Amino acid sequence: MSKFKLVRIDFRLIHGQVITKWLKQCGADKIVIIDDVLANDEFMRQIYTMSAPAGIMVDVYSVEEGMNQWNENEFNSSKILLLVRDVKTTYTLIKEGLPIEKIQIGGLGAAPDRKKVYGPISLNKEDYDLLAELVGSGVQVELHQVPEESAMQFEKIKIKF
Amino acid sequence: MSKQLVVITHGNFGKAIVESAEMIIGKLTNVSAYALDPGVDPIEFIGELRENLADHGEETIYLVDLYGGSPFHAAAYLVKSQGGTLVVGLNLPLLIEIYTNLENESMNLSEIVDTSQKSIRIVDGL
Repeated sequence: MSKFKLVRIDFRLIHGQVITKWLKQCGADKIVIIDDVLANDEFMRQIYTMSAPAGIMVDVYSVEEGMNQWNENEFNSSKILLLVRDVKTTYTLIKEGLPIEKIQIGGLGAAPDRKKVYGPISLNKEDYDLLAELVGSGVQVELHQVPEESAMQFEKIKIKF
Repeated sequence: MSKQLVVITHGNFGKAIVESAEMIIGKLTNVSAYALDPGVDPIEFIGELRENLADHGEETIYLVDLYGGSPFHAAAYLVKSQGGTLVVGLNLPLLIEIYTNLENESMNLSEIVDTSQKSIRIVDGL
């Protein structure tokens, strides 16, 4: 069984929806953020590390640190909520060997080259192609912002690209 | 600079609660409210706040709605970088109590927070 209770792509990383809803819903006892930007900004890293409720650990790693940590001790928990900022980083992690079976896309912000695909969630062609490749290799991908809404399977957004 | 109160929330809650407080205690001065709108990048939001609040320092009290949310991150960033105090758990009694004591030199913020926590209760005897 996967050590990841939830793997979520969300440009906001830890934020209100994650803290109030997904954390309880998925039953994780640890949040792991893998993000080069946050890991290299000591200031922001400290803020995010303290932003989970009592009893929930938060670890922040760069991609390289994250893979090293995974290979060393699998993040020392079997109930992990993994947060990643974007599709590309998630793709890299999988290619580096992180055993991710299912990805939830929870938030990707708008930009001129991005198309809204489900509610406020947007993808560009590059994201779409990377996800399609992952789906082709057996990873399940769904778009899901908050638990109260239903999840959209990746296959259903093909028509937009 | 006199003491400032900055309210930062998910959506318009902060702006609206300031208006609600004004219904009760009249016009609030030295208070500003910022709304994080859905879909806004938290990093851009922090940038916007830094620009608007560049002159705010140690004397500023930040009031935010939810621990761990993006408004919380933004306020934590500002306090870490330019000083001030962060209080989480915004509600109307808390806002009014802090505001009423803003000019009080001997204001004890942690006492106000304790008192305001007691404002949340089940009403018995009805």
